[in-house]
Amino acid sequence: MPDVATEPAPATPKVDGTTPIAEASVEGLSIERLNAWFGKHHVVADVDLTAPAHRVTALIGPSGCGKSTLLRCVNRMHEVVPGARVEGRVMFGGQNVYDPDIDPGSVRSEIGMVFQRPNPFPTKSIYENAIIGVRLAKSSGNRKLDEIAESALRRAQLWDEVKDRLNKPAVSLSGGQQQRLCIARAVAVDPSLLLMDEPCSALDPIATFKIEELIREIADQYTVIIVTHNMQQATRVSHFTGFMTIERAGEPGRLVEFGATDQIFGAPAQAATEAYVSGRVG
Amino acid sequence: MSQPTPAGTPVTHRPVLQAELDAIRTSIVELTKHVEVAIERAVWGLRERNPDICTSVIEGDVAINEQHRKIRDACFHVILTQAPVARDLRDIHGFDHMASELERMADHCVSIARIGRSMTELPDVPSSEPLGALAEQAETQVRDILAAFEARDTLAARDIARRDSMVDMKYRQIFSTYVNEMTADGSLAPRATGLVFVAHYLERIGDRVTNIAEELIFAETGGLEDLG
Repeated sequence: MPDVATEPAPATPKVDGTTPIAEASVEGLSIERLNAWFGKHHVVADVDLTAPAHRVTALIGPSGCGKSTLLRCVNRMHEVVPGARVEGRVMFGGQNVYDPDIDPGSVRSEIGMVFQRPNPFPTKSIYENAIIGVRLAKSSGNRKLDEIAESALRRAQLWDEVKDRLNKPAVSLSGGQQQRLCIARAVAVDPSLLLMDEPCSALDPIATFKIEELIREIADQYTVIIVTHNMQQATRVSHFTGFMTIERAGEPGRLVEFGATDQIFGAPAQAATEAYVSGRVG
Repeated sequence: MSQPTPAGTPVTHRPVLQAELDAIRTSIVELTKHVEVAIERAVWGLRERNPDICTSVIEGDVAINEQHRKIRDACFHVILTQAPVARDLRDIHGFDHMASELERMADHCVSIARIGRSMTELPDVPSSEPLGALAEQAETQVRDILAAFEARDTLAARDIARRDSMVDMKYRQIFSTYVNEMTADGSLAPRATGLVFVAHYLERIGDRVTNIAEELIFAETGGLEDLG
């Protein structure tokens, strides 16, 4: 725990009485006793997991085991589904993102997300896509939007490919470029945490390698949590891996094992993890 | 979803990978048996002063090298096509290392056979019995590690590795015995020198058995243990 002298100053309350979540966590993310439901359907049960700061944490497991739901609980996107409910704590920057005083919108701007399929704003230009989060969520301060756009596109390793056509529509880009544009859009607001839900599943191998390279590059600046069905991808990009599964149909997903990626794929401690990563069950 | 299947039980989701792993495992067993025969024949040829037996060991090494190459190719193929993880990866890693250790053991046998073939006309040294005991000990180590490999028996692997100290001790005894004999009677030096080298090769075979024991334990447990 940080001592008192290093704790951030209290954030200014917003008009609705909530406060923005503190920026720039140095502690990573800690999920505590998290449970999630869709209506009466219990989909995630009792997950405790710590994703260390400035490291890539992969979540693996069979379809329907609650990986994506867990990810969407982290930035409070799960609750926007009608009937969806979350219990437990998600500690980030020394605060619980589910604290009643916390503004969910600020959580989502502080925790970036990249989805399975590239989803740029189709009618907007490459440039506008890159900075839209900054326009919507944060003031640009003293920095100019052009600088933010260039910086974000560079971090997403897209700048060289688009610098001469920034005003072209985002949909003029290839799928892999669009996904990197979405990553640029996510990092433009300088989130502390980046969530990626199968970011390469719709991409060809070259585009996949570029995204993976990018994930490794940005890991020293961001804490990254990535859901992937591609086990080799998990071994390539992540430092830590969590294996989730459901024991039988209808039961909630649970975290079976969490550890260093080399350990999870090299010598897993749990028989269920071994069976899954070796393809013995599926 | 089906219940997780404990590691090592029959599986249905990955028949190609399992068949390939089983085939390599069988090849390792065969290679080990060939090395056992090579040790036995190399020492036999030496003791019997039989150049034909020694030559058969030297010529037989071609087949052992070829078998080693096939196992390495098969391991590479599995890694390339199946991207094995966890126990499968540890097994493949172990197979590859074991095949290399066995191939080097066979090379030691060739060295012994070459020495044997070159010394058929040299006079005997007074104490040849300790060398026979060392050879038997080395053969036993190879035979036992094969049994431990087939049974995936880590306890036996540790026990075999511990017994390597007896091989080392016998080697040191032989070394000083032959040095003493050479010091006392210089005419014994040509054959005694050759036998010191033979003893050294047998001792190295023992060390390679220890390396295999370490590989076996790593494959079974995922833990690196220094047994040497």
